[in-house]
Amino acid sequence: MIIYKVSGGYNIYTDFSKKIILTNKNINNFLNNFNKSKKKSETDMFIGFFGYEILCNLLGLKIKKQKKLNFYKGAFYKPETVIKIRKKISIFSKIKKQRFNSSFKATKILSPFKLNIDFKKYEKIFNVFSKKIRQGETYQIKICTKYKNKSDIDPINFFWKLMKVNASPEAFMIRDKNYSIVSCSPETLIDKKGLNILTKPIAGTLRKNKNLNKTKALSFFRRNIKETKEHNMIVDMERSDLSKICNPGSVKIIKEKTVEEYKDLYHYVTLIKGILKKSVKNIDIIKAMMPGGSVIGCPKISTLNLLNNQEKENRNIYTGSFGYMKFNGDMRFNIIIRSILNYKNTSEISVASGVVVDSNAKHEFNENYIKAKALIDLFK
Amino acid sequence: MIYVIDHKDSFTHNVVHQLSIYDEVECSDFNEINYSKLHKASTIVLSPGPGSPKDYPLTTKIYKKFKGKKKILGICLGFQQILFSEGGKIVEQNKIYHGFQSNVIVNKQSKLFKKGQIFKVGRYHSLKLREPFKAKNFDITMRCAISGSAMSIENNADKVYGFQFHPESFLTINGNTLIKKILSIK
Repeated sequence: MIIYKVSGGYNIYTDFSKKIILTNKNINNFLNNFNKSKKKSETDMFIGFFGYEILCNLLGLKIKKQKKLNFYKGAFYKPETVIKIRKKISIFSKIKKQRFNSSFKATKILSPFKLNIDFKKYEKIFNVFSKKIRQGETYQIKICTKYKNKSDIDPINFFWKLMKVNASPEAFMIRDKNYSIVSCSPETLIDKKGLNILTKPIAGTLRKNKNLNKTKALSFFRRNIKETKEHNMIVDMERSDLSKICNPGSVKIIKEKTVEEYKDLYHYVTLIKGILKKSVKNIDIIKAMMPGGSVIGCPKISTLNLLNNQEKENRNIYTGSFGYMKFNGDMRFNIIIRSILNYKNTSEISVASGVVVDSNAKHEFNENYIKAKALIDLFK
Repeated sequence: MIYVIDHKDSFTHNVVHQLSIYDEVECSDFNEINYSKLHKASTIVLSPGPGSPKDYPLTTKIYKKFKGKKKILGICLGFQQILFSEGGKIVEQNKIYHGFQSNVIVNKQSKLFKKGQIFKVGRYHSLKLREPFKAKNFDITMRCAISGSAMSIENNADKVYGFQFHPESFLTINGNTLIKKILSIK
């Protein structure tokens, strides 16, 4: 079963008739099968995710030997039933006799959370990357740390618990037989309808408190030079990514540096739109936009190479993308961050924060913990 | 036709997009140059990119080969590549500008822009030109209003131009005017 947050509610996808496990061999073929037919019904789509590694491979980047879980590089599902939960509930299904079985598992924690990189190691990486910034090899780079424990979880239970504290706009859950993902991703990477495409990078997050409101949050972001510079960089990078696949002159900033308000936090976001060239295929869009720049750093290719040479552990789903592709070519994808991957009784939560010129190692290291905390709290 | 040499940057396609308003544009990675198209181009643009000019000997070679024969425009790294090829020293700077908007002022050396004119521009550079810099027919024509570092060069004899800042950035006001001016030089 898959649940995906949409504006005004949730969609539940189930009764999967096909499951495609992505490999470097089949991904091109899989992606080329879209754009071909007209969408007929709500279930004419594939929904699933691309992991980080396969997105790097698509760009021709190889990842050196890493510690691996041997988890899927990506997986997509063809649903036969879509349940739309809004004010009313509507069900679209090709299945005649529905069988719902609901049983909740209790969370079992078999070992406490451990962080894969301590501050000493983090600081070392931080200093290496700071030097690379001074030398101009990267302008911004995100160091990833990972929390892991041994546990058995009920992802549906976790997901609704998470939605109570943070119903983020790109939240989702996947429950398959051998793994599950629970995510409160905030960022839309691709929203494509017909030839219209938009992306909504987030750079800048502020936790709510009693003294804050939207206006004050905006002036906080505007006054904060570090956040502003990080944000500018991401906006120019996303404009460039869109420009690869859009008509000249069509890439425009629709909303520049505005504040969006969520239950617990404010995000500093920009909305960028473009009109796709007619010749562009879904695979071109994915190669142009993924992995999403705001969680990697800039410029993308040299920064990805720096990260891939540095990181000892596979990122799995982290900084990949979850979403759907309809048979008519329309699609929506997020950036997978703030997520739990449970596989083979191991839960992992990856987080990252940015190194730019004026970053402070201790601050960024602690920021990583703050980002993971809401997810770690679900295990309590 | 304009040929953009991409140094695998995440801003290059903003440059391509901007140039496409005025002319047909070809773009390829610096290590996958299509030489027959490059020969046909009237203008060569050296894109921004990571690292330092010395990391791209191929681009230096192309610059030297076509200098004086075609119009050449360098942006950010491309600007530094021109200066480096002309014997300039490109060095790390104390204060680094990434995603920074600042004012640059046109000086009296400029033949293209009016002396004293101020542009608000977007900057993404770790490195800069070490001065004094002297090369035949080259003038530094814009400088940062605060630090004074070199922000633009003109060589009107050989039609070589460069911006240290990014005319294609959304942080640059009137970026199109700057590009149009360069492209309209006959």
